[in-house]
Amino acid sequence: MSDDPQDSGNHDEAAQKSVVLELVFISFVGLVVGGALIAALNYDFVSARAPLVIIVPLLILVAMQFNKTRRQAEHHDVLQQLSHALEGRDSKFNTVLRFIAFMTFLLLLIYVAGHYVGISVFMFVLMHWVSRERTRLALLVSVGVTVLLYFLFEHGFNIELYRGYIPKLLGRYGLF
Amino acid sequence: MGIIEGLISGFLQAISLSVFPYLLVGATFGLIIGVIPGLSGHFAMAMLIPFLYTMEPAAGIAFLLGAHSTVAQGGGLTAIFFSTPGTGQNAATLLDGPPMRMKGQGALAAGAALTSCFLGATFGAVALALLLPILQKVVLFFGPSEIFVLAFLALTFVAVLGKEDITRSMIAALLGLLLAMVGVDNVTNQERFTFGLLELRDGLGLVPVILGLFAVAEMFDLWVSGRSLTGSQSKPLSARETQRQVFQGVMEAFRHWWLIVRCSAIGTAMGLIPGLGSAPAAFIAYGHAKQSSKSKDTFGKGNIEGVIGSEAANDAVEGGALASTVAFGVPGSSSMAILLGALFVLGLETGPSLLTYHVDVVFVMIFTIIIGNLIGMLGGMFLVNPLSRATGVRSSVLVPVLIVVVFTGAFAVQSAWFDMFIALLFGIIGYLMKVLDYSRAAMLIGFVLGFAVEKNLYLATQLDGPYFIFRPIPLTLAIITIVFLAYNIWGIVKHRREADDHVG
Repeated sequence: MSDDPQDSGNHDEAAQKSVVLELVFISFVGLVVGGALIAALNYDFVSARAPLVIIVPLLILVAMQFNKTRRQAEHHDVLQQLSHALEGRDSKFNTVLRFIAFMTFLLLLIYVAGHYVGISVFMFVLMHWVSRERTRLALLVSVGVTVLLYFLFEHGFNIELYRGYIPKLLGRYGLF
Repeated sequence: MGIIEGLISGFLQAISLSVFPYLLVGATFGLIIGVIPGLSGHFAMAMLIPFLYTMEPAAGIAFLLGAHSTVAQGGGLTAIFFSTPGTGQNAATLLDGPPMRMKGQGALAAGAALTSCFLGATFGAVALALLLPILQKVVLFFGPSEIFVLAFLALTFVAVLGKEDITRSMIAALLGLLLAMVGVDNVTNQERFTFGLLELRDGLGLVPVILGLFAVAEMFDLWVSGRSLTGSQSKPLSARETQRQVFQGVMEAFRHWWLIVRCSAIGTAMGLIPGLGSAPAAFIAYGHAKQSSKSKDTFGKGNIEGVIGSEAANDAVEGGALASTVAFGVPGSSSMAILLGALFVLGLETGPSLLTYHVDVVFVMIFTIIIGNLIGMLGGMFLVNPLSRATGVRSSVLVPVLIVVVFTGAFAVQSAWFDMFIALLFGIIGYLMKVLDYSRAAMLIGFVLGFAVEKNLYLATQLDGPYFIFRPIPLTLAIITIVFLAYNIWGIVKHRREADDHVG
């Protein structure tokens, strides 16, 4: 363990965040498994048998872990930590949320504009605008990787990647 | 097919023009992924799974196992040259590799590490080949009842012996089993946990789940930590000096052949136990190398025996781990769970049919491990300097490119946009599990075994009645599971009480 008080302070803060995050995570898991239990009770006996054999011990373990984490969290102000994160004052939490947003943006872009437009725009945005890489490098990598994937999947593996909603729509009117 | 016939056929397939190029590409890919810190063997295997759909079984196995074989070799180079293990299994190499580099013997350690990996993997693969006749006989005693209980035993081992907390690992394993229940029940045709979504009727796709848990989650980690892939880089040696040292390292490994045999035996034996993995095997082998050495004092200060022992053991593990995977369809690690998923994708079924009728496929695996490691050794020997440059790629460039490849792979399996969403969802779950120390390996093994557990539970109750658990083998396996679990829980409770007494 470090003797440096600042190091030790950072360590405590990280442990506190981890406890709060686990409390949220295990509560969510508990809710999902509880929902699964209710759903399984409505299935035929044969269909419900295996899920119930799994869900019952799982719920017990989740309750044990929740209890253990809650006891650890007694020393921390959970609500304050949560509001701190939700108000956008936790930089790591913000980075995670931003990254999830980028990937959701990628999926939506692929859905609307198609795979090739989606991936090339995503790579360029992430490299150039978010990570401040040079324009030429970002352009070169995004176009190069897109072309490589096109040849690999369309010609190498004979797999047609998703063309997107707009080209499909235009195709209906014979425009694309 | 007989063993000798299978051996010859397996070897001819492995070196044929329709298989070898895939092995070469896979091995090269694995070597590069291994060199890059933060990207593990599971990542390499997960990335390759989407490509298997268009391949013949032998080519697919060579592609996947080729990559898996060389990851540890690449990881060893990074451990030696950058004091950062390329993969978790190379952690023991950190004890003596970097001190050797600081003494100006980095390439010597690299040559010895690459050769030890190759010899260790060969030992493990030969051990698997020698075990085959026994496995062929043992596997005949394993019907649905036995496989059902064996799956729980394997999950218990994975949860207890993994590096994570037992309760968390058990939660992860059971969650994995539950996830396998999503979709239409094959027996009653009833939809389970589908939320009315058509896309979930066939269940969660194995490939997007693997990609999410292991590839997308790693990308999260790399991006969020915002670190460069390596810390400060040491100045590389001149090309001539590097080559001279590398070849000297190769000779050193052969000179310590008896140490390699002993450490490989440790690795292979530990590979047979589900859940232990290569990292503990490498540390135990390191301990053995130190204990049996004449120069114990120099361990940790740059002793080549430390590098040789740990690297030989971490690659020998694979032969042992493959045995339970191919014989019983029960994987002992996340890599083997991915391999099992790949075998499903390639249309192969594990168990008696694979060992009896397709023993050539098992020999393709064995020869792939040996030839893959040979490629890794030769590639690593001549490309030490260029390979080390791969660690210089910034995460700001690497992450967007890899994310795009991962999502494209997730889509390509069934040409379904929904699968990309599943990969993202499991990426978030995988990242949270990694941060909170929940075992992703246990979840994946649970997910892969879930199908087998339910099918075998149904068959067991139909064939042997509701008291199938009281048959000799299932009862023995169930007792082992309960005693093993109880012993470990008792150990934890005792440890806590002692800690409380100490504080009190």
